[in-house]
Amino acid sequence: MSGEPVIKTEDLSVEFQVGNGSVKALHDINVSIYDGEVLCLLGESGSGKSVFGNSILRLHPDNALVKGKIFFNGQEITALSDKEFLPLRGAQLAWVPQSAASSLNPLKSIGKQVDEVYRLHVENDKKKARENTIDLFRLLGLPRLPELADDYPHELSGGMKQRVLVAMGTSAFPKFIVVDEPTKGLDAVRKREVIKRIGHMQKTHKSTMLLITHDVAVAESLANDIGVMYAGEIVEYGSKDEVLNSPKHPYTRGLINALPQNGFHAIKGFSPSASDMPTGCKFNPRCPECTQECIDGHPKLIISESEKHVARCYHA
Amino acid sequence: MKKGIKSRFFSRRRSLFTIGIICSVIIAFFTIIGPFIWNADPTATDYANQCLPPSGEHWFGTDNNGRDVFTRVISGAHLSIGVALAVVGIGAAIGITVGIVAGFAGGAVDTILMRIVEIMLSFPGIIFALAVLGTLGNGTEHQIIALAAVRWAHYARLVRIETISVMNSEYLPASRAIGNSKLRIVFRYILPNIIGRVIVIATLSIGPVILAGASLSYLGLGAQIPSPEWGLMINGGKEYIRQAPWITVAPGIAAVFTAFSFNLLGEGIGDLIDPRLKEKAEVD
Repeated sequence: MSGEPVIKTEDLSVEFQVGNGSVKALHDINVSIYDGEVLCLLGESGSGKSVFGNSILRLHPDNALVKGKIFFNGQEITALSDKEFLPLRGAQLAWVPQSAASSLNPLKSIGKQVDEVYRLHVENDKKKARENTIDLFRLLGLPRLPELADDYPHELSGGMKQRVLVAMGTSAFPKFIVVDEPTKGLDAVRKREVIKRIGHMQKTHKSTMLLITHDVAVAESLANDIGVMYAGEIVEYGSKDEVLNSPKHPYTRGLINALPQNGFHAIKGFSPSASDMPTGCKFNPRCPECTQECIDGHPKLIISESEKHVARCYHA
Repeated sequence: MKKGIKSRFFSRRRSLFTIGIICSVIIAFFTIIGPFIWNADPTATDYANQCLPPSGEHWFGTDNNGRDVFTRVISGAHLSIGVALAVVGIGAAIGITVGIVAGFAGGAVDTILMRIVEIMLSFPGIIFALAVLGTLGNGTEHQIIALAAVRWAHYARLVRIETISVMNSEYLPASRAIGNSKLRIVFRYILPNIIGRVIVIATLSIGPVILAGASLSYLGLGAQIPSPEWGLMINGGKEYIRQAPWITVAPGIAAVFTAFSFNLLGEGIGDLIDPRLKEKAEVD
């Protein structure tokens, strides 16, 4: 942890206009991701992980309202116009979408789709682009090279498509990659393979990465730091070992206890709807340690150099 | 692709496409080269030989003015088919543009364009074409404008829906994330993903457009006597349908055969363009 962070957010909030009202999907996120590090956002569906990733790449639908600031290498990218922002996409900031099964253009061979990124951002040279693509495919452990590059997405398995998407994301050597749920919909064997390959690729290219997942095992094998998200907020933040070995927040403890190897102890209740948040600490209705203080006040989370492992909890 | 040309053209699914190609080649031969081989004047009358049945000399017989029906069908082909191709081409070009703009822009642009399309579609096509022809006057060009003015709305609606479906697909955000500009997304992602269906619909509509053109000529608009346009020939022969059915049947069959070939061709092209269907075709 040194120098200027690659990505830094200041009070980042996202609201979606729905009908007459609005729904707040993300509240005041303050994180920094440093060069070559992997920050993993861990949380259940609807906790705002993907919304955060999409905010960085500006991939929200038109009804989204993004507040706060995002800095990339010190530059405030939230202040750029769409036109100024466009050249950053794919070249500096990349995004590996979730649902690999349907995120590739069905009409183009996978090789061409990966070439396209290189030709758009690095050099418009067919041969070099294809060499780069094949190198990436090899790094990601795809079989039947180089013929595979001429296959169409429907000819590939889910795990292969996921790796093609990772190749697409990294083809122009971006500084920063958002990897959204890379193991969604994959079986256990493929999952391990994809994770291993992403880790290998991340180390080879020394990429800075935001990894979004609901899978503690994925976070454990790839992350440097972990941010645990609940109902649009980060509830606990710290290095991987700190968060997973000595969790401070009751929600993080609940997540870890719910793992199969720890006996499947599910957290009772459901996460709250974004339009109907509890007062005070958002986890209070489900929290075994809830006191009056938790209902009256909303605990703060301040990540600082001196105290990196923090939790949004009065009892931490 | 690697399986060779043979399996591509002769699997069960492809065989219909192959028939479509063969029929289209036959039509193209008669339309383009035919008039040079059978170069008799299609309007030359011979009152000594009125309403002769088909024979070795007159393959499709002769009409009430003693004109050779076969020569007339051949020399009228370029009129009927040319009008249909022009109508579908112009209609599809306008429809694709309007549909993509509406689907891509959304919001007020979409609402306004689609209301215009709905107004167009609310007229019975032939009535609108008649109104346009009534304003512009007769003539082949005007016939094309009238029919295209009706057709484009059909394509626009289809293209808009297809555009929206591509816009909602999960590969579109992926294409934005790699840094494609809006224009590139339209031309590299949306257009290729919808064009297959548009081509299918466009070729399927060549048949109806030939028939619509024939209807207009039949009603006395568009091509004029003694032009050998098919609709006009059917119109001219209808009074002799009991004594000499070949006068109407021959151009009628020509129109239906053309429509049929284009339909087969259209579906085949749609399948060929879409790589997802190649696999299926090979499995068949």
